[in-house]
Amino acid sequence: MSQPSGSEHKTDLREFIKENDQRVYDFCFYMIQGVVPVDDFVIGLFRAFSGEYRRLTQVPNEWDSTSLKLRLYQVAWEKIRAASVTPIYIASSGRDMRSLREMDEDVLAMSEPRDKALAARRESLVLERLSRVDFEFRAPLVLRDILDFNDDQAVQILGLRWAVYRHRLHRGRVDFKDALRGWPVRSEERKGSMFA
Amino acid sequence: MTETESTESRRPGLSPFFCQNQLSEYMDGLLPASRAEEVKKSLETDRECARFHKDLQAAIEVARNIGPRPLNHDLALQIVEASEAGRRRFASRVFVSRVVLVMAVPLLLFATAVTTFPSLFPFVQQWSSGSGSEDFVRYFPLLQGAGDLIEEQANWLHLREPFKVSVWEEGGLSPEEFEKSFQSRSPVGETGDEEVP
Repeated sequence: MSQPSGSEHKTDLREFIKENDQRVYDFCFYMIQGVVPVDDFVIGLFRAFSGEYRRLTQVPNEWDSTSLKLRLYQVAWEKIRAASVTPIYIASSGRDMRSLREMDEDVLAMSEPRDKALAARRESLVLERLSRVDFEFRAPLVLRDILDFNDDQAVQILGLRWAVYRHRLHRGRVDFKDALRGWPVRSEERKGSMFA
Repeated sequence: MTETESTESRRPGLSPFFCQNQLSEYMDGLLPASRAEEVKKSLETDRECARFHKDLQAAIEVARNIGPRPLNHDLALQIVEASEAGRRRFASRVFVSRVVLVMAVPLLLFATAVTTFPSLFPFVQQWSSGSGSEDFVRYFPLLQGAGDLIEEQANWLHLREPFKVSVWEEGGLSPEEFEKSFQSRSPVGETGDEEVP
């Protein structure tokens, strides 16, 4: 089988990116929202991945689209971890900018919003509560319950052992539930929030 | 229901803590049948566990209903462009020009300081005058008085040598006396060994 030419590669890469950019953007958004600017982060991520893509696709028939997709998420996870170690607080300068009124509002007890404004407010509350969940516990929750990856794929992306992954998924779910209820999150109590 | 009754009712099932920890596996259908049955029973009997389960289900439902974030067209284009451009080279033209620009300011300041106050930078003058290895003097320690010191120390050791006697000569036992005093005198027949004359 002949090697694909440069233009073929470009087309493939473009298609691959078009298929995956939305979900990767979602993954990055849920993981690093409020820590670093998400748009720049995602652009940097795809720039880094394109080199990886070219390297991997040099060997024909070795990588199918699913494994390439998993590799893309692996690269994203590596970059997210690196970014979370050195957070750059742009707007908040490290201060807790959460509204006091919304700190302990019970989102689970809220009824289904009737109009768009209420729905948007509820959504922003949900996202803020999601960001309270510790980043290591949030990743399995985001991959499994929000982005609909199966367990095996999530394990591959996060590079964890099965038991560690299941434990973190459960902790993420429990912490998310507590955050939605407006209760203090256990991991937040233990080592401080990402916003603290 | 009193606390004792509540404990009695829980006894055949799982503890609330254990039950709560198994709920994710239970909801994902990963538990073996017998354990799943235990969790199910526990959920029926234990109100605390049931409430936890309900909340957890609601939270997962909320998570599943979080919609995709709006990805605007410009950003999508930028992503495609960035990925086609590939990884940024370390020594790209932009990077080099930035480095040159940043480094130019301190270099200019340094050059100005050197030319204005040459006495503050003698090493620059030495370097510019081209002074070489002929300015250095080789040092021979034995010719510079180190021999006297060594000789003095040797005399000191020589004078004190007679006073440095060994333990045997200070009133202890000499090796011969030691052998005489402690030679084995086991009686014949007791150990079965005959004494060697």
